[in-house]
Amino acid sequence: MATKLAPSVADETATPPRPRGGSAGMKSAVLAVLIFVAIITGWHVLATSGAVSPLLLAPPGDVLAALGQMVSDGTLWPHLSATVQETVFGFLLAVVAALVMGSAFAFSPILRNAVYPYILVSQTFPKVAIAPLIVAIFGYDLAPKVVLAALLAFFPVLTNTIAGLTEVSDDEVNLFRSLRASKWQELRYLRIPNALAFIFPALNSAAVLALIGAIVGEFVASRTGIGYAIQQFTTTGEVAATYAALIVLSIFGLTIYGVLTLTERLVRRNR
Amino acid sequence: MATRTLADARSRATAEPSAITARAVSKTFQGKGKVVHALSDVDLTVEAGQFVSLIGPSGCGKSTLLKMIAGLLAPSAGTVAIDGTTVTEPLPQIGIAFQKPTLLRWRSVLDNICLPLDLDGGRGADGEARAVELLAMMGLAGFEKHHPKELSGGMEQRVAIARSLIAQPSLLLMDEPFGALDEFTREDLNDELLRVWQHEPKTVVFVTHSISEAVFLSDRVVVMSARPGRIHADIEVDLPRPRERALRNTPEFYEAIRHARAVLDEARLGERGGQR
Repeated sequence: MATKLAPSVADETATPPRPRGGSAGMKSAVLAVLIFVAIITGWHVLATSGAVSPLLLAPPGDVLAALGQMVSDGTLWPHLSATVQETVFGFLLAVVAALVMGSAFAFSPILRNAVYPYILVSQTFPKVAIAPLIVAIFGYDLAPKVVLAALLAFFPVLTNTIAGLTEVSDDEVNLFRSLRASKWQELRYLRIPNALAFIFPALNSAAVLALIGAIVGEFVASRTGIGYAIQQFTTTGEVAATYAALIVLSIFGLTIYGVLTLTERLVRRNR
Repeated sequence: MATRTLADARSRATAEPSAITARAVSKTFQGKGKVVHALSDVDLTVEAGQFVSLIGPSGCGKSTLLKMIAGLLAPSAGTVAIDGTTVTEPLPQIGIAFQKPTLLRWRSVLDNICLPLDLDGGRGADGEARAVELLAMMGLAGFEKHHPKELSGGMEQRVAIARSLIAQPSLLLMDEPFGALDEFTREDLNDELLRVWQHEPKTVVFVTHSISEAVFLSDRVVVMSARPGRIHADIEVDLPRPRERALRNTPEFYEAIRHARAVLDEARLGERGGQR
């Protein structure tokens, strides 16, 4: 009997497995390299032809040299270390707070309805505007940058935690009820796995926002950090070093992204 | 919830199909400023092992009645009992399939089918073996590791049906499970459902919009009318079993459909007459 049924399934259209690697992947890789070469060439031409003032743009070669200099004489590390600490601590603080508060709100509609308007107001408020105030309150060291980073990173994680835990369909809830699942099981097997799909994208934006918070904090008042270094280089006209610092920032950003992607893969495999 | 053992699973496999009695069941919903009578004074008896379809125009309360049998909705008046136990919450002997497959997208096909076991003390090797067997029975052998997003609508619904059967329910409740599928896929799934049912006898209550589907599958077609939802007629389907594909081309099948359609039209006309 089973043989009679197999063809009926084949008639239906299922999504074919995505091609891995293959010629399409190869073409993308080649194109990506070409775009990179084009950007560097265009940059070089713009910077050396005089089309753009050397006070605004340094040629890629000089930037690379400045970067090498910072790395070899060690001036980069204290700045990088400060910015990394501010960002990571701010990010973690925000994520823990947002997960705890988000869960509380998700399970107490009364609390959520009472507090949410205030959260909305503070979310629409440009938090960068209170950076000077935060520096005044928390001093000039690590603390104000961590607070700013956390403030910026907090809201996307909070809103997505609430959404992920509450946005399950009636059918899904009915399925679990019909299976006589306990509240804990509903959380473990339905709501948390569902929430992960919402929370991980939020973590990516939160990481970027935490970095922005840290840099803004450094701009306002600091003696160290990549943001501080950029300010110094700009005022002293070290254009190549400024661009080198920006490249360091983007490498740091990419690293965060990579770590988060790996974490996501690990967690998803085990949900 | 006790841990299921192999012996348990065996005894469940041979468990008698369930019987249902609904007595004077009504359901009213408080809408925005108005009261909706979804069901009014419904009596329904389903004997153990019967395959019964509920059919009727939208708003006749057939899904409401099914949800009350499932224990997902409480009646406003009257009682529903399964095997003599009044239903106040979902009873352990039921399996449910909804119109939407409602598969958990982060779980593989195999893990989706095993969900009822995982929630009830763990699947064990025999549970997983049964899941593989059910999957093959539904024509999806080899799809264990796939994820729902890689499946077509018909394949997803097959998985959902395998899930509803995994814990060997004595009562299977199906709420328009094939309503969103095309005609061909629907007929394939009807065939498969009947085959599984023949293999593991159980009581089935099946809600549908399709007259031919109801006639093809059922021992009885219960025709409901709307506003308020009540049972209009109860038609015995006297076609021989086991029923297979070829039955759909016989004059007896057409005649049974014609009869059911006439009764359904009557139900809808009566409803319009009542509104006047």
